[in-house]
Amino acid sequence: MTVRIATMGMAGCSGCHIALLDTGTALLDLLKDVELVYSYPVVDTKNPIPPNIDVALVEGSIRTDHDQEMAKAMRKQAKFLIAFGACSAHGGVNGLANTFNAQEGVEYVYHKTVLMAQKIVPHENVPQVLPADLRLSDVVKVDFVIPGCPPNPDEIAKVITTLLAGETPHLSKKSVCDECPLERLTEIPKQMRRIHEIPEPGTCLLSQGFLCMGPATRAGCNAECTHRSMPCTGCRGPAETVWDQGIAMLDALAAMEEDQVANFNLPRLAATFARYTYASSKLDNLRKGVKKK
Amino acid sequence: MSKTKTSLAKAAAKPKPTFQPRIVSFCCHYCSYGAADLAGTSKMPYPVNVEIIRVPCSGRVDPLHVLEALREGADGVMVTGCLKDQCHFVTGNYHAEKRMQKLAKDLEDIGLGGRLVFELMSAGMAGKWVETASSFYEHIKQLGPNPLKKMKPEVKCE
Repeated sequence: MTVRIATMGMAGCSGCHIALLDTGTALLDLLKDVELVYSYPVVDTKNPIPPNIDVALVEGSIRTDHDQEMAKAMRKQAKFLIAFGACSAHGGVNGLANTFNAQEGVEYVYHKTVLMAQKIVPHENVPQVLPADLRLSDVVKVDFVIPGCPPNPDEIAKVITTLLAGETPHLSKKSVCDECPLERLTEIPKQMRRIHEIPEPGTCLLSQGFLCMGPATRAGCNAECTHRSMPCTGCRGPAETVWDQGIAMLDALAAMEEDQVANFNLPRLAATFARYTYASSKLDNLRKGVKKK
Repeated sequence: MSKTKTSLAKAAAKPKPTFQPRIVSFCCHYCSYGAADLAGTSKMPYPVNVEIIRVPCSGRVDPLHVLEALREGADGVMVTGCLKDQCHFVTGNYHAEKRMQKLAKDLEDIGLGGRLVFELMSAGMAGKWVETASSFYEHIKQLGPNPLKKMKPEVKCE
Protein backbone atom coordinates (compact mmCIF):
# COMPACT_ATOMS: atom_id res chain seq x y z
CA MET A 1 0.00 0.00 0.00
CA THR A 2 1.34 3.40 -0.93
CA VAL A 3 1.52 6.16 1.62
CA ARG A 4 -0.30 9.35 0.68
CA ILE A 5 1.77 12.45 1.36
CA ALA A 6 0.76 16.08 1.01
CA THR A 7 2.80 19.26 1.33
CA MET A 8 1.43 22.73 1.81
CA GLY A 9 2.94 26.21 1.89
CA MET A 10 1.67 29.21 3.82
CA ALA A 11 3.53 32.39 4.80
CA GLY A 12 7.02 31.24 3.93
CA CYS A 13 9.65 31.33 1.21
CA SER A 14 9.16 27.74 -0.08
CA GLY A 15 12.74 27.07 0.98
CA CYS A 16 11.53 24.04 2.91
CA HIS A 17 10.14 22.55 -0.32
CA ILE A 18 13.57 23.11 -1.88
CA ALA A 19 15.08 21.30 1.11
CA LEU A 20 12.68 18.42 0.43
CA LEU A 21 14.02 18.24 -3.14
CA ASP A 22 17.53 18.51 -1.73
CA THR A 23 17.14 15.09 -0.10
CA GLY A 24 18.44 13.92 -3.50
CA THR A 25 18.67 10.19 -4.06
CA ALA A 26 16.86 9.53 -0.79
CA LEU A 27 13.82 11.20 -2.35
CA LEU A 28 13.92 8.76 -5.27
CA ASP A 29 13.92 5.84 -2.86
CA LEU A 30 11.04 7.40 -0.96
CA LEU A 31 8.94 7.97 -4.08
CA LYS A 32 8.69 4.19 -4.63
CA ASP A 33 6.42 3.86 -1.60
CA VAL A 34 4.95 7.35 -1.56
CA GLU A 35 2.20 9.03 -3.52
CA LEU A 36 2.31 12.81 -3.56
CA VAL A 37 -1.37 13.74 -3.62
CA TYR A 38 -1.29 17.47 -2.86
CA SER A 39 1.69 19.76 -3.25
CA TYR A 40 1.78 23.16 -4.89
CA PRO A 41 4.97 22.69 -6.92
CA VAL A 42 3.54 19.65 -8.74
CA VAL A 43 -0.24 19.39 -8.25
CA ASP A 44 -2.99 21.91 -9.03
CA THR A 45 -3.75 23.15 -5.51
CA LYS A 46 -6.90 25.05 -6.49
CA ASN A 47 -8.70 21.72 -6.06
CA PRO A 48 -9.81 20.92 -2.53
CA ILE A 49 -7.45 18.94 -0.32
CA PRO A 50 -7.95 15.20 -1.04
CA PRO A 51 -9.06 12.96 1.85
CA ASN A 52 -7.10 10.24 3.68
CA ILE A 53 -3.69 11.88 3.74
CA ASP A 54 -1.23 9.87 5.82
CA VAL A 55 1.50 12.46 6.29
CA ALA A 56 1.15 16.20 5.72
CA LEU A 57 4.15 18.55 5.70
CA VAL A 58 3.03 22.12 6.33
CA GLU A 59 5.50 24.90 5.62
CA GLY A 60 5.24 28.53 6.66
CA SER A 61 3.60 30.50 9.43
CA ILE A 62 -0.02 31.65 9.56
CA ARG A 63 -0.32 35.28 8.47
CA THR A 64 -3.77 35.59 6.82
CA ASP A 65 -7.21 34.14 7.45
CA HIS A 66 -6.78 32.06 4.28
CA ASP A 67 -3.73 30.39 5.82
CA GLN A 68 -5.76 29.69 8.94
CA GLU A 69 -8.57 28.02 6.97
CA MET A 70 -6.10 25.97 4.92
CA ALA A 71 -4.34 24.75 8.06
CA LYS A 72 -7.64 23.65 9.57
CA ALA A 73 -8.71 21.95 6.32
CA MET A 74 -5.40 20.09 6.15
CA ARG A 75 -5.74 18.99 9.78
CA LYS A 76 -9.13 17.44 8.97
CA GLN A 77 -7.71 15.28 6.18
CA ALA A 78 -4.28 14.44 7.56
CA LYS A 79 -3.57 11.62 9.99
CA PHE A 80 -0.09 12.89 10.87
CA LEU A 81 0.57 16.62 10.57
CA ILE A 82 4.15 17.84 10.57
CA ALA A 83 5.14 21.48 11.14
CA PHE A 84 7.81 21.75 8.49
CA GLY A 85 10.55 24.34 8.95
CA ALA A 86 11.21 27.19 11.36
CA CYS A 87 8.23 29.36 10.34
CA SER A 88 5.74 26.60 10.90
CA ALA A 89 7.42 25.28 14.03
CA HIS A 90 8.28 28.49 15.92
CA GLY A 91 6.96 31.41 13.87
CA GLY A 92 10.20 31.99 11.99
CA VAL A 93 11.60 35.27 10.78
CA ASN A 94 8.02 36.31 9.94
CA GLY A 95 7.37 36.28 13.67
CA LEU A 96 9.49 39.39 14.10
CA ALA A 97 6.58 41.28 12.48
CA ASN A 98 4.87 40.86 15.83
CA THR A 99 7.08 43.62 17.21
CA PHE A 100 5.04 46.01 15.02
CA ASN A 101 1.34 46.70 14.64
CA ALA A 102 -0.05 44.64 11.72
CA GLN A 103 -2.70 47.18 10.71
CA GLU A 104 -0.16 50.02 10.62
CA GLY A 105 2.02 47.84 8.40
CA VAL A 106 -0.80 47.21 5.92
CA GLU A 107 -1.65 50.93 5.84
CA TYR A 108 1.99 51.81 5.28
CA VAL A 109 2.21 49.48 2.29
CA TYR A 110 -0.99 50.65 0.62
CA HIS A 111 -0.97 54.35 1.52
CA LYS A 112 2.62 55.49 1.76
CA THR A 113 4.60 53.47 -0.76
CA VAL A 114 5.05 55.15 -4.15
CA LEU A 115 3.77 52.28 -6.31
CA MET A 116 0.32 52.24 -4.75
CA ALA A 117 -1.35 55.08 -6.66
CA GLN A 118 -4.91 54.35 -5.60
CA LYS A 119 -4.20 54.28 -1.88
CA ILE A 120 -6.93 51.70 -1.17
CA VAL A 121 -6.41 48.73 1.11
CA PRO A 122 -7.88 45.79 -0.84
CA HIS A 123 -10.65 44.04 1.05
CA GLU A 124 -12.66 42.13 -1.56
CA ASN A 125 -11.63 38.63 -2.71
CA VAL A 126 -8.32 38.83 -0.89
CA PRO A 127 -7.39 37.17 2.40
CA GLN A 128 -7.17 39.54 5.35
CA VAL A 129 -4.01 39.94 7.38
CA LEU A 130 -4.24 38.58 10.92
CA PRO A 131 -3.26 40.88 13.81
CA ALA A 132 -0.31 38.63 14.68
CA ASP A 133 1.89 36.08 12.98
CA LEU A 134 1.05 32.61 14.34
CA ARG A 135 2.91 29.33 14.27
CA LEU A 136 1.05 26.23 13.14
CA SER A 137 0.53 24.85 16.65
CA ASP A 138 -1.35 28.04 17.65
CA VAL A 139 -4.13 27.07 15.24
CA VAL A 140 -4.21 23.26 14.98
CA LYS A 141 -2.77 20.28 16.81
CA VAL A 142 0.66 19.36 15.45
CA ASP A 143 1.95 15.80 15.67
CA PHE A 144 5.62 16.43 14.94
CA VAL A 145 8.00 19.28 14.28
CA ILE A 146 10.89 19.37 11.82
CA PRO A 147 12.69 22.59 12.75
CA GLY A 148 15.35 24.46 10.79
CA CYS A 149 15.60 27.23 8.25
CA PRO A 150 15.74 25.37 5.94
CA PRO A 151 15.35 21.90 7.54
CA ASN A 152 18.26 19.51 7.17
CA PRO A 153 17.58 17.23 4.11
CA ASP A 154 19.03 14.19 5.91
CA GLU A 155 16.64 14.77 8.77
CA ILE A 156 13.62 15.11 6.46
CA ALA A 157 14.47 11.80 4.77
CA LYS A 158 15.05 10.16 8.16
CA VAL A 159 11.73 11.35 9.58
CA ILE A 160 9.74 10.21 6.54
CA THR A 161 11.43 6.80 6.37
CA THR A 162 10.83 6.33 10.11
CA LEU A 163 7.16 7.14 9.60
CA LEU A 164 6.95 4.73 6.64
CA ALA A 165 8.35 1.99 8.86
CA GLY A 166 5.54 2.69 11.31
CA GLU A 167 7.74 4.07 14.08
CA THR A 168 7.73 7.40 15.89
CA PRO A 169 10.46 9.83 14.83
CA HIS A 170 12.55 11.70 17.41
CA LEU A 171 14.46 14.96 17.35
CA SER A 172 17.90 15.36 18.87
CA LYS A 173 17.77 16.40 22.53
CA LYS A 174 21.23 17.98 22.58
CA SER A 175 22.31 21.51 21.75
CA VAL A 176 24.35 22.60 18.73
CA CYS A 177 27.47 22.92 20.93
CA ASP A 178 27.35 19.15 21.56
CA GLU A 179 27.76 18.51 17.83
CA CYS A 180 30.11 21.39 17.10
CA PRO A 181 33.72 20.29 16.41
CA LEU A 182 35.30 23.68 17.27
CA GLU A 183 37.66 23.78 20.23
CA ARG A 184 36.61 25.79 23.24
CA LEU A 185 39.07 28.19 24.85
CA THR A 186 39.37 28.58 28.60
CA GLU A 187 39.91 32.34 28.51
CA ILE A 188 36.93 34.64 28.12
CA PRO A 189 36.90 37.20 25.29
CA LYS A 190 37.62 40.79 26.29
CA GLN A 191 35.10 42.21 23.85
CA MET A 192 32.46 41.04 21.43
CA ARG A 193 33.24 41.15 17.70
CA ARG A 194 31.27 41.36 14.46
CA ILE A 195 31.48 38.63 11.83
CA HIS A 196 33.46 40.75 9.33
CA GLU A 197 36.39 40.61 11.77
CA ILE A 198 37.20 37.14 10.36
CA PRO A 199 37.14 34.43 13.05
CA GLU A 200 40.05 32.08 13.59
CA PRO A 201 39.19 28.63 12.16
CA GLY A 202 38.98 25.66 14.52
CA THR A 203 38.23 27.70 17.64
CA CYS A 204 34.88 28.20 19.38
CA LEU A 205 33.19 31.31 18.00
CA LEU A 206 31.68 32.32 21.32
CA SER A 207 35.13 32.08 22.98
CA GLN A 208 36.43 34.44 20.28
CA GLY A 209 33.64 36.90 21.00
CA PHE A 210 31.29 36.26 18.08
CA LEU A 211 27.63 35.93 19.00
CA CYS A 212 26.80 32.28 18.35
CA MET A 213 23.39 30.96 19.37
CA GLY A 214 24.68 27.38 19.62
CA PRO A 215 24.24 26.84 23.39
CA ALA A 216 20.48 27.50 23.28
CA THR A 217 19.71 25.84 19.94
CA ARG A 218 18.56 22.30 19.22
CA ALA A 219 21.10 20.00 17.61
CA GLY A 220 20.48 17.80 14.58
CA CYS A 221 22.02 19.98 11.88
CA ASN A 222 25.55 18.52 12.40
CA ALA A 223 26.69 22.09 13.23
CA GLU A 224 26.92 22.86 9.50
CA CYS A 225 27.31 26.60 10.03
CA THR A 226 29.71 26.69 12.94
CA HIS A 227 32.28 24.29 11.57
CA ARG A 228 32.52 26.61 8.57
CA SER A 229 33.21 29.45 11.05
CA MET A 230 29.77 31.00 10.61
CA PRO A 231 28.04 31.72 13.93
CA CYS A 232 24.79 29.87 14.65
CA THR A 233 21.69 32.06 14.33
CA GLY A 234 19.44 29.61 16.15
CA CYS A 235 17.19 28.51 13.28
CA ARG A 236 16.40 25.15 14.87
CA GLY A 237 14.62 26.71 17.81
CA PRO A 238 15.15 26.09 21.53
CA ALA A 239 16.99 22.96 22.69
CA GLU A 240 15.08 20.27 24.59
CA THR A 241 15.66 21.71 28.08
CA VAL A 242 15.36 25.38 27.06
CA TRP A 243 12.02 27.12 27.58
CA ASP A 244 12.68 30.31 25.69
CA GLN A 245 15.62 30.53 23.31
CA GLY A 246 16.13 34.30 23.51
CA ILE A 247 16.00 34.48 27.28
CA ALA A 248 18.27 31.46 27.66
CA MET A 249 20.83 33.12 25.41
CA LEU A 250 20.60 36.38 27.38
CA ASP A 251 21.19 34.37 30.55
CA ALA A 252 24.23 32.68 29.08
CA LEU A 253 25.73 35.84 27.68
CA ALA A 254 25.18 37.84 30.88
CA ALA A 255 27.17 35.21 32.77
CA MET A 256 30.17 35.45 30.44
CA GLU A 257 32.06 38.65 31.06
CA GLU A 258 31.55 41.97 32.77
CA ASP A 259 30.09 44.03 29.95
CA GLN A 260 29.40 41.47 27.25
CA VAL A 261 25.73 42.31 26.89
CA ALA A 262 26.41 46.05 26.86
CA ASN A 263 29.10 45.52 24.21
CA PHE A 264 26.47 44.27 21.83
CA ASN A 265 24.38 47.37 22.35
CA LEU A 266 21.32 45.66 20.88
CA PRO A 267 18.18 47.77 20.82
CA ARG A 268 16.07 44.74 21.72
CA LEU A 269 16.45 41.03 22.38
CA ALA A 270 14.09 39.92 19.62
CA ALA A 271 16.01 40.41 16.38
CA THR A 272 19.17 38.61 17.47
CA PHE A 273 18.33 36.31 20.34
CA ALA A 274 14.87 35.22 19.18
CA ARG A 275 15.25 35.66 15.43
CA TYR A 276 13.32 32.50 14.55
CA THR A 277 11.29 32.03 17.72
CA TYR A 278 9.82 35.46 18.54
CA ALA A 279 6.25 34.41 17.66
CA SER A 280 6.48 31.57 20.19
CA SER A 281 8.53 33.40 22.85
CA LYS A 282 7.41 34.39 26.32
CA LEU A 283 7.81 38.08 25.48
CA ASP A 284 5.41 37.81 22.55
CA ASN A 285 2.99 35.84 24.70
CA LEU A 286 2.91 38.74 27.20
CA ARG A 287 2.71 41.32 24.39
CA LYS A 288 -0.46 39.68 23.07
CA GLY A 289 -1.95 39.83 26.56
CA VAL A 290 -1.13 43.53 26.94
CA LYS A 291 -2.61 44.35 23.55
CA LYS A 292 -5.95 42.67 24.23
CA LYS A 293 -6.80 45.17 26.97
CA MET B 1 -34.71 60.11 36.85
CA SER B 2 -35.34 58.27 40.08
CA LYS B 3 -33.40 55.33 38.69
CA THR B 4 -30.29 57.44 38.14
CA LYS B 5 -30.66 58.90 41.60
CA THR B 6 -30.74 55.50 43.24
CA SER B 7 -27.76 54.27 41.22
CA LEU B 8 -25.88 57.44 42.12
CA ALA B 9 -26.72 56.90 45.78
CA LYS B 10 -25.50 53.32 45.50
CA ALA B 11 -22.25 54.46 43.95
CA ALA B 12 -21.77 56.96 46.75
CA ALA B 13 -22.46 54.34 49.40
CA LYS B 14 -20.01 51.85 47.92
CA PRO B 15 -16.68 53.60 47.46
CA LYS B 16 -14.60 52.22 44.61
CA PRO B 17 -11.97 49.91 46.07
CA THR B 18 -8.59 51.60 45.81
CA PHE B 19 -5.97 49.85 43.74
CA GLN B 20 -3.63 47.80 45.90
CA PRO B 21 -0.59 46.76 43.86
CA ARG B 22 0.85 43.31 44.38
CA ILE B 23 4.60 43.37 44.19
CA VAL B 24 6.84 40.33 43.98
CA SER B 25 10.30 40.89 45.39
CA PHE B 26 13.15 38.48 44.73
CA CYS B 27 15.64 38.87 47.59
CA CYS B 28 19.05 37.23 47.73
CA HIS B 29 19.70 35.15 50.82
CA TYR B 30 22.90 36.85 51.92
CA CYS B 31 22.16 40.58 51.62
CA SER B 32 18.79 41.95 50.65
CA TYR B 33 16.83 39.24 52.48
CA GLY B 34 18.91 40.18 55.53
CA ALA B 35 18.03 43.83 54.94
CA ALA B 36 14.32 42.99 54.73
CA ASP B 37 14.68 40.87 57.88
CA LEU B 38 16.38 43.72 59.70
CA ALA B 39 13.65 46.10 58.59
CA GLY B 40 11.13 43.69 60.10
CA THR B 41 12.92 43.23 63.42
CA SER B 42 13.56 46.95 63.79
CA LYS B 43 9.84 47.53 63.11
CA MET B 44 10.31 49.80 60.12
CA PRO B 45 7.00 49.98 58.23
CA TYR B 46 6.87 49.06 54.54
CA PRO B 47 3.91 48.15 52.28
CA VAL B 48 2.39 44.77 53.18
CA ASN B 49 1.73 43.96 49.52
CA VAL B 50 5.42 43.47 48.83
CA GLU B 51 5.77 39.69 48.79
CA ILE B 52 9.27 38.40 49.33
CA ILE B 53 10.68 35.34 47.57
CA ARG B 54 14.06 34.31 48.90
CA VAL B 55 16.58 33.11 46.33
CA PRO B 56 20.16 31.91 46.98
CA CYS B 57 21.61 34.75 44.92
CA SER B 58 20.26 37.50 42.67
CA GLY B 59 22.11 35.74 39.86
CA ARG B 60 19.61 32.90 40.28
CA VAL B 61 16.76 35.11 39.10
CA ASP B 62 16.11 34.13 35.51
CA PRO B 63 14.36 36.71 33.29
CA LEU B 64 11.76 33.96 32.87
CA HIS B 65 10.92 34.24 36.59
CA VAL B 66 10.18 37.94 36.11
CA LEU B 67 8.08 37.34 32.99
CA GLU B 68 6.19 34.52 34.69
CA ALA B 69 5.47 36.71 37.74
CA LEU B 70 4.06 39.43 35.46
CA ARG B 71 2.01 36.90 33.52
CA GLU B 72 0.51 35.54 36.74
CA GLY B 73 -0.65 39.06 37.60
CA ALA B 74 2.04 40.72 39.72
CA ASP B 75 1.85 44.51 39.25
CA GLY B 76 5.55 44.99 39.79
CA VAL B 77 8.68 42.93 40.25
CA MET B 78 11.64 43.90 42.43
CA VAL B 79 14.97 42.14 42.11
CA THR B 80 17.42 42.97 44.86
CA GLY B 81 20.97 41.77 45.39
CA CYS B 82 24.18 42.44 47.29
CA LEU B 83 26.31 45.53 46.82
CA LYS B 84 28.84 45.35 44.00
CA ASP B 85 31.93 43.26 44.82
CA GLN B 86 30.17 41.99 47.96
CA CYS B 87 28.21 39.15 46.40
CA HIS B 88 28.57 35.88 48.31
CA PHE B 89 28.99 34.12 44.97
CA VAL B 90 31.38 36.82 43.65
CA THR B 91 29.66 37.75 40.37
CA GLY B 92 25.97 36.87 40.80
CA ASN B 93 24.79 40.45 41.22
CA TYR B 94 26.72 41.59 38.13
CA HIS B 95 24.98 38.92 36.07
CA ALA B 96 21.59 39.83 37.50
CA GLU B 97 22.09 43.52 36.79
CA LYS B 98 22.89 42.93 33.14
CA ARG B 99 19.93 40.59 32.67
CA MET B 100 17.47 42.94 34.32
CA GLN B 101 18.72 46.02 32.46
CA LYS B 102 18.24 44.25 29.15
CA LEU B 103 14.89 42.80 30.15
CA ALA B 104 13.59 46.19 31.34
CA LYS B 105 14.12 47.58 27.82
CA ASP B 106 12.20 44.73 26.24
CA LEU B 107 9.38 45.03 28.76
CA GLU B 108 9.05 48.66 27.71
CA ASP B 109 8.67 47.54 24.09
CA ILE B 110 5.80 45.19 24.88
CA GLY B 111 3.99 47.75 27.04
CA LEU B 112 5.04 46.72 30.54
CA GLY B 113 7.64 49.44 31.09
CA GLY B 114 8.47 50.57 34.62
CA ARG B 115 7.26 47.37 36.27
CA LEU B 116 10.71 46.00 37.02
CA VAL B 117 13.21 47.50 39.42
CA PHE B 118 16.73 46.33 40.29
CA GLU B 119 18.47 47.52 43.46
CA LEU B 120 21.63 46.60 45.33
CA MET B 121 21.94 46.73 49.10
CA SER B 122 23.88 45.11 51.95
CA ALA B 123 22.34 43.13 54.82
CA GLY B 124 22.56 46.20 57.08
CA MET B 125 20.77 48.57 54.75
CA ALA B 126 17.25 48.07 56.09
CA GLY B 127 16.53 51.76 55.43
CA LYS B 128 17.32 51.41 51.77
CA TRP B 129 15.16 48.30 51.50
CA VAL B 130 12.19 50.11 53.05
CA GLU B 131 12.74 53.16 50.87
CA THR B 132 13.01 51.06 47.68
CA ALA B 133 9.92 49.02 48.51
CA SER B 134 7.79 52.05 49.43
CA SER B 135 8.84 54.21 46.49
CA PHE B 136 8.31 51.33 44.05
CA TYR B 137 4.91 50.70 45.63
CA GLU B 138 3.94 54.33 45.10
CA HIS B 139 5.28 54.24 41.55
CA ILE B 140 3.20 51.16 40.68
CA LYS B 141 0.15 52.77 42.30
CA GLN B 142 0.58 55.68 39.89
CA LEU B 143 1.15 53.31 36.96
CA GLY B 144 -2.07 51.35 37.54
CA PRO B 145 -2.80 47.63 37.54
CA ASN B 146 -0.98 45.11 35.38
CA PRO B 147 -2.77 44.80 32.01
CA LEU B 148 -2.03 41.06 32.02
CA LYS B 149 -4.20 40.33 35.05
CA LYS B 150 -6.47 37.32 34.58
CA MET B 151 -4.60 36.19 31.49
CA LYS B 152 -5.39 32.64 30.54
CA PRO B 153 -2.77 30.04 31.43
CA GLU B 154 -0.38 29.32 28.61
CA VAL B 155 -1.37 26.29 26.54
CA LYS B 156 1.44 24.17 25.23
CA CYS B 157 0.52 22.68 21.87
CA GLU B 158 3.79 21.04 20.90
